[in-house]
Amino acid sequence: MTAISADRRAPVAGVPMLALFFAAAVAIRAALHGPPGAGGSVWPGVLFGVLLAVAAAAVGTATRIDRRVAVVSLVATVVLVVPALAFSSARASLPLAWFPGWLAATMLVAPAEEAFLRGIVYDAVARRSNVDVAIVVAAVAFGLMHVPLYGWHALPLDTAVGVVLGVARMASGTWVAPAIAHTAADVAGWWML
Amino acid sequence: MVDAVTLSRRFAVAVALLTGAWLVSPAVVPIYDGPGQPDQPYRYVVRPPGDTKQTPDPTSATATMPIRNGVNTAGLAYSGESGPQVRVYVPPGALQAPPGATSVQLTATPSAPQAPLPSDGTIVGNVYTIAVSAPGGPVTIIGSNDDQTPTIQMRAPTANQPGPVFEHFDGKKWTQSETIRAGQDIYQTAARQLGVWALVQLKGGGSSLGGAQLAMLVIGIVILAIVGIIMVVRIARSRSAPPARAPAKRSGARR
Repeated sequence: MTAISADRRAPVAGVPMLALFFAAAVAIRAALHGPPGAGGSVWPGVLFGVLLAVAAAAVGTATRIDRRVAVVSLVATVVLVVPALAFSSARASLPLAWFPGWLAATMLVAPAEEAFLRGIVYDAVARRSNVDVAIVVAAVAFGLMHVPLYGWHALPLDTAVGVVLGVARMASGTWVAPAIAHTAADVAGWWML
Repeated sequence: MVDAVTLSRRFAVAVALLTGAWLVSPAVVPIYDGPGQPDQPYRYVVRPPGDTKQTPDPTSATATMPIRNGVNTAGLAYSGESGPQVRVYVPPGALQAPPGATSVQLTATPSAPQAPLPSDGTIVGNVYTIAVSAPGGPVTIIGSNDDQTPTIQMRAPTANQPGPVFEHFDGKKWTQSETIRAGQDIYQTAARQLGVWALVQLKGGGSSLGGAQLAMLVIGIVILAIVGIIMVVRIARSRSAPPARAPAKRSGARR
């Protein structure tokens, strides 16, 4: 893995620019969400993930995998999944034939969201103010991006999830840890209501 | 990197927020994210004309709620499809059980739409009859505020917008109920009475890509293009600019 320090280069995009980009990507995703069905709702999410990944790659952010990242990822995954198990219940079986495609899409989209929010957005906000503000801004953006898909009811939960992922970012020093935890929680969600 | 005390405080705050969010969220909000989990095709009791898909029969939702001090504890019933076509959440204290009852049974049973049908639109999906029962007598809804009102969620056959609204049949006529969109194709209402409920597509609604969605798509693409061009220009400039170097150490000798 290469380590790209965002601090060593002049920022390609500041907070307002990133906010505009993010809002536009969310709007496109929300507009394209068509009727559900086998894979029916996956492609707008994949497009959304590609847009965010391209932006994150263009701007650059610290990318690292080491023992600390692995430990933080594991802890964050447990923190996200355990309450879901406690408050939710196992869902009825989905056809397993759908799983590989959905898994592939999840493994693209969740890390892309993290590279953008807990990567370049976190870096930009932290550079401008501090890491606490960066955690909150990225978490609120994470919560808001789900509103067009799920409604306002999902905002508190998804924002709180964003805070957990933000703390994982702070603890590990890279977006990779929240990306692993996010992906693991999503995959666990396949079997939950 | 932050010190351990700061980190443990942030961690505790994050866990507390997450737990609190789970507690205040409706019982059946979507879990986290991902690109969206695909739903199974909608299961009808009687398929609409022209729809030839073969699907299993829809399932009922059931839950048993223990009784404490004469009222129910919280209960959630959801049907077996993925995602569930009907979910009913009954908060604690919403139901008064007959004397001696130790539990209340909650059921949501699908049926095909039958006359009289709503006059303001068309039922989409199945009709669900939601009932509570207990040995020894009737069960009544006593919850008076929003926190004590049962919540019904139903999945529509499609996510087309504008979406359907909830309507309740009282035995004589269908009445609209305030409806919110709780997911792409999931709708929710507060049920101050149980009985017969259905999602109704109101007349004049149901386009596949509404004007607002189209506008959102166009505006999103335009903004994305502008921001993308600006970012590309900035990246190109930052690459072509001479790299910043630390001042060279002077040797003292000049030529």
